[in-house]
Amino acid sequence: MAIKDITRSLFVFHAALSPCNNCDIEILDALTPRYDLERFGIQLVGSVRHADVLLVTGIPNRKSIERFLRIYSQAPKPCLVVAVGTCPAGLGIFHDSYNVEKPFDQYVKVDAYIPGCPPKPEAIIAGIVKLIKVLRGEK
Amino acid sequence: MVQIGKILFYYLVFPGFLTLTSIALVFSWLDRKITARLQWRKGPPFFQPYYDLKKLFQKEIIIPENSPSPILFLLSPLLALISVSLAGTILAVSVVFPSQSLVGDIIVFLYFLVLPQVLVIVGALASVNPYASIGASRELKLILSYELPFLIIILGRLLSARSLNIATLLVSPPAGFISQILFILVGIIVVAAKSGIVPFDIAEAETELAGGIFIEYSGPLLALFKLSRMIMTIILILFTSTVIWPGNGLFAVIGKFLLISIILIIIRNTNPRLRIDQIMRFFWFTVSGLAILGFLLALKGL
Repeated sequence: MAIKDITRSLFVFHAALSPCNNCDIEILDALTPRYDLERFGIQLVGSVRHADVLLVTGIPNRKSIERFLRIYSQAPKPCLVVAVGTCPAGLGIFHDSYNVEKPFDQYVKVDAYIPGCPPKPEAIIAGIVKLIKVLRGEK
Repeated sequence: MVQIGKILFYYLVFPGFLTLTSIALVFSWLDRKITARLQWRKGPPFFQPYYDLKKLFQKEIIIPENSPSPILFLLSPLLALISVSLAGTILAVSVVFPSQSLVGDIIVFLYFLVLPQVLVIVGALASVNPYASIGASRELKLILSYELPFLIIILGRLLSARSLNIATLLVSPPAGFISQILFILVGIIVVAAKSGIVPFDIAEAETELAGGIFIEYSGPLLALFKLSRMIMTIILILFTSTVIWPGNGLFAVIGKFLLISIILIIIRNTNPRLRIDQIMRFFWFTVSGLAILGFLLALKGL
């Protein structure tokens, strides 16, 4: 599989792990005509079977991580995981919460972290562009 | 041998599969670019539809675990693409080489045009997903809605041409001015419904059914379905701009093709999705009414 082909057309699936919804709103903002992610070939898809990228928002707690791992196993490989927001990137304010076992990147390999609470649409786009550059082997 | 080689060349290269695929990819780009410009965006690069398909062909195929028939699940996208490119070849051969066309090819063409939709339903039902089965039932209702006006306008053209041959239909003059306009109008609406673009995309319905009929399809199978949908759209536009709206000359055909494409793209971008009952009422009463009116006027020679 040439990973370069994936970078030209990223189909994004929005996987919410019990977020507070601020990151989801910023993701939706990033997909609006104002920021025009389609010029990078990025599209939002509704089914995980069509996905190339899982955009993860929210905290990986005991209930939600089970669901996420099921969704992840249903995605056709190769599939990238991008952690959007402080919660999946670190643990944020939930670092000592009773229902959080371990950080998100100890469950699955995360390809890009976009910190921020919530990150701005510009930050999300910058993160995706950095991910694309790394996958293509550019500086 | 030479005959078989010629048929294979027609089917696979020109004016068949390869040519249709390239036109379909360009049309898909045009569609997305005009959509983007209408929303004041920049839009995808020229090769974007090609990149999408190339990527999809390299992804994993997932077959649903409790599918009643994995073979049907796997075969229906492939057969859909084969039948749609056969239909396209029959039409395009009649347009490009009128002397090579068969007798009664319009009947074969119409059958091959229905087959992809039926195969989409079969594939959706083989993928045991509740959303897919809702999508399949909606697709079936859509077929029931648009086939009647489509067949009526084709009947109108057949009567004025007195022939079942596409090559004869291409050159036969229209019965009358008013009926011609009604036929083109009905034709454009039916093309929009048959290729599943926005006011009539109830079966796919990204926002409520999350892909509907295609929800369980991944990788190459999804690419085959997408490609057959794209080819279907351009075949139907070509059919409307040649058989239903006859007129000679290469430039006339290209002009009509572009005009109908742009009308379809603008319809797609300015309309919300309709409900099932709205679509069925619209097609059975308004569009079929217009088609029957056009048919009667064509009989009178108006």
